[in-house]
Amino acid sequence: MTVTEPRHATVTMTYREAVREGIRDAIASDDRVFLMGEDVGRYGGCYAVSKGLFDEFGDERIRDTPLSESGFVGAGIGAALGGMRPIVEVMTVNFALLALDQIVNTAALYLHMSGGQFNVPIVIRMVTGAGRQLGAQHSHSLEGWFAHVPGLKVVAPATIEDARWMLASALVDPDPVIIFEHAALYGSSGEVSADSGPVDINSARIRRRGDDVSIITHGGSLAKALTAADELDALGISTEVLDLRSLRPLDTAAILDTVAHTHRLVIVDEGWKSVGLSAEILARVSEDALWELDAPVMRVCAVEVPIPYAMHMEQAALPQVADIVAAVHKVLDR
Amino acid sequence: MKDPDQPRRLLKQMVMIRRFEEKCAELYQVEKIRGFLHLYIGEEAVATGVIDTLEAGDAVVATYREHGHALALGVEPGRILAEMYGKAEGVSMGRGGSMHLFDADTRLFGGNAIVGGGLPVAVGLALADKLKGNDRVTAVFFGEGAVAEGEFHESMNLAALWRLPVLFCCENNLYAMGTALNRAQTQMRITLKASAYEMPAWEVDGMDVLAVSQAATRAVESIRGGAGPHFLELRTYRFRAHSMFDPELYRDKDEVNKWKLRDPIETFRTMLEADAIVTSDEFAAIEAEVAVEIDAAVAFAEAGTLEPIHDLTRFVHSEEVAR
Amino acid sequence: MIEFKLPSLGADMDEGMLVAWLIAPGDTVERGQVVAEVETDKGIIEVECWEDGYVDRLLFEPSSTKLSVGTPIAVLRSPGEAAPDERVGAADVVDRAVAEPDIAEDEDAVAVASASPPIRHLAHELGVDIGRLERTGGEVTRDEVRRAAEPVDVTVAAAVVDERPRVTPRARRNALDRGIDLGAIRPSRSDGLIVARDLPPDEDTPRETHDPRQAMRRAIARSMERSKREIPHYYLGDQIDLEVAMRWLDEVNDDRSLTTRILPAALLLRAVTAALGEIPDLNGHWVDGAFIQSDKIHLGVAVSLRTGGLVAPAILDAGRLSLDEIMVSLTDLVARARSGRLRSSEMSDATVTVTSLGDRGVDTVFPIIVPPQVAMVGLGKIAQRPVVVDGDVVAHTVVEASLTADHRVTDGHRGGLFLLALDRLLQEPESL
Repeated sequence: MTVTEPRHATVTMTYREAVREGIRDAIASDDRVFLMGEDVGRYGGCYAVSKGLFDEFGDERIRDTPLSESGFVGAGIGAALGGMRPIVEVMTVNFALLALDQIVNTAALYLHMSGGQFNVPIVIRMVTGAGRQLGAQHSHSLEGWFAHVPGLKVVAPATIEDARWMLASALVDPDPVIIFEHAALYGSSGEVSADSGPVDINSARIRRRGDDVSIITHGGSLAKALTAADELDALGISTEVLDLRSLRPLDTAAILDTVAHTHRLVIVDEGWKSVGLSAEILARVSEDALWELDAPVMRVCAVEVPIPYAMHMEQAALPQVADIVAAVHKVLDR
Repeated sequence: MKDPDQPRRLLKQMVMIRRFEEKCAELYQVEKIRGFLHLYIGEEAVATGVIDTLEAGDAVVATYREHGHALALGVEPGRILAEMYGKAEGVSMGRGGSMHLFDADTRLFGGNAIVGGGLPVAVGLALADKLKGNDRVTAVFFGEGAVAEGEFHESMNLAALWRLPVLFCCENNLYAMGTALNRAQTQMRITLKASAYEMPAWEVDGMDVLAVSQAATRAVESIRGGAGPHFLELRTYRFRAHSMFDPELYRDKDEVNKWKLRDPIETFRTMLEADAIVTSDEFAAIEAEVAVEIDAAVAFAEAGTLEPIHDLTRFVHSEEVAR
Repeated sequence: MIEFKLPSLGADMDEGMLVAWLIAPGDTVERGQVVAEVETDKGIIEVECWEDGYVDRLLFEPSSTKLSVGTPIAVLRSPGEAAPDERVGAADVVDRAVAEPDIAEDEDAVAVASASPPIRHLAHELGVDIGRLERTGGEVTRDEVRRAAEPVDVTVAAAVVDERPRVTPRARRNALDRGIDLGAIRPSRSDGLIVARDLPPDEDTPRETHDPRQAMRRAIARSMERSKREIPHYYLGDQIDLEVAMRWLDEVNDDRSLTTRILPAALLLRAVTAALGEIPDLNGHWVDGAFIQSDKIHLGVAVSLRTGGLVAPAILDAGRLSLDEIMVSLTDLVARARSGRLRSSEMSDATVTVTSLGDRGVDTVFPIIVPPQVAMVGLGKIAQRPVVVDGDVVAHTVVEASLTADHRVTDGHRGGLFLLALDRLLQEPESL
């Protein structure tokens, strides 16, 4: 007789719904939490993430802002210093460049410059990534810029579960956390365990186990990496896929572990190669896992060009499943 | 006068700031203090007059020329000086320096060295107060140079739009480093910029501590009453160079000397002596008290200790999480 | 390139006879090294080389021919200089890059492959010989010239020159730990890089091997585990009379040569695609909790490999293929599957799969669906069976067709309609 464990109830939802549920939960359960950003209220969010929340919670807690990225991100920082737990939505990372002063000079530095007196418990959510023919000014993948700065935490939910629960963990964190949501993921859906809860936001996760080669990636590129792994699997190549989840801090131990396991590495990042996240991962591997490497490392990144509008050009500029598969073949020489 | 102690208190506060800054200049030249050092000499009436009207619980956001504000808030001079010495006993444990004085007890949120950078933070602090339903006020200080920054306009608009309890204090000392206002703005009536955001805005003689105090009192009362943000343009002048290493090529000695005739401490003292509110003996006594306090501050800073290097990576993340 | 010339070993030496070479092509030479023996009027003298470098080629064999002093007798390459590489023709590139431009030859080349002056200039700058470009015609383009001068060629070539073997860090550490001479290791990779698996097996730690059969087994295991874990299967079966179909096929094949004949398997596949056209909700993928119907039928065909294991590559867009085309595709696919030359799209894009175990003597197949597909068709052995026709028991050629489908997407009723359609279509083979 076999005894089967009762299967946990699951809920199927889209990435968009998962983020929304996370926000709703946070606002409903903590008086200090509010959402602020451009068109988060009446409009329902540029990507419809906060749709319906304005009616549910009102204009104080779902706060529309003027187009003043530096102003309202700074205001979020001030509110955090004043005891609130703001969730600030910057419509996209492209516009966050207008708020870099507040993010880098204020949010990231106040704890340190004040000798530990003033922590800034702010959560900043922003959309990142290309692939929807939005042109060069709406297609940046600049996660690496933010991950460069000590004092910030940077996370990239790539799965429905992370989209649902990373926010809760970020709000518990006493320091600034930036959440990068890849635009292409909002429509994707999947199952979330009904009784799951806040997830760890400092560590990477293996999304697929394998033996021949490791792919390290994050965010919008995870699905591509997994698809590539499926194709490779059919050809008898066993691929391990590591989802970084946290871009700062980087889970160096997980990176080194997977390299030590497969000895071969392909890094997939929608950002550019030069001086980027992929370079940092590779540097850490060189520092601490060089002797594990049994093949040159390959990087599959965006081509070093502003992201073009024309679909065929844009697709050619971005990492694709076929590029990942080809990189693995090259690393394995088969 | 409702508050009979106020004149002497304001006078002593200004003398304290003046002597403290003079001591800083002296210590800088013997290399006890390094980095950038921006002195508040000449502008004492501004921080003194505004902060005197604030209450415990109100917040202050200041600039990199903020020693006076910290002193006026009641931060111990020894801890401020120790900060400039880079000592662990400093207000910011030596991590901040002259430009980054922070003090949780008096709610001093910097010490921000990015021109305009403190304004959005002040808006946020006021937003938190409004959401919590208390009647606190946030006073934010910035120079007239900040008026050219986008963050100034974004913050003014947000504060006005949301009727937030912010007191905007523009310390107009006529020069953004070396750039005179008329070389940076077409509209030099700064209060008109506030009017564009439908915000009550007054021009105040920043060399007259009573005028500053009266204007600030009126504004703060109005803000506390729920009238939303107010704007003070405090016309003042720094008697010393922008920082310690500045040959002052951009202004005439004559201009400086003309403003020195309006020294806020001298004019206030003369007035108080004329009105027999403070005698010359009492003034001498104030100077003596201040001298003792400053000597004690120097001794405190000198005796301070250096934070061990193995603590270098502290305060990147909050310790409850990081450790 | 350095020409090594017969040296003058004395003021009165005009010629000499090469007696022996002490070097061979590929050798490293150092300044001061004795490289040859030359007989002179004064006897045999050891000749030294005054350059550091590598021996590219020897221009003369030892013989009794007298050579004049100053005659180039060998060609050396200096240490930083790239080596020729047969595979990529880099030697030409490199030679051109360092040699003086040969205007006449360039002009000749232009006569063959026409190129504008700027292109010729570019080719000259990059050391590309336009006459040697592999091309189909027309004016030579800038891109062609640039491609011919790709730096990758040079680096690959340089790697060959470097006598120090190229070894991955892991293999190097491994060799160091175990005292293995890396110079004796033959690399298995095409780029000459020595990797850990090239080292001899270690008694203590099992040698890392890649067994594709094991990997394939694991892949099948994962896929089937997932299938049985996630997909609520239902199974239907139907015996289909192939009497008409087989007779029709015989007639068709009568006129055909052995190589163009149509196998029954192709006819069955054609019938399956036609039936799927009628019941399209068996064709597609279950993704993120929903069925996504595919407008194209990428027909997966399970192919068992002679080395063991199984692949199910797809005949792409099989719904649009005629019977003949399906036959061609099937032959091609099976051949390539067995030689391991499948394309990745064929491996990943199947929208439905057919498995036939008839040639293994199996009567009926009960397939397991390959996720994320939602149905699989099984075909058993084509054989003579007793069937009842108009009340009489007669022998007919039949096949057991089965359908396994995902109950989340379809119900048994739809599945039954599919088998019914398949049966009907096979009774009218000419319409296929």
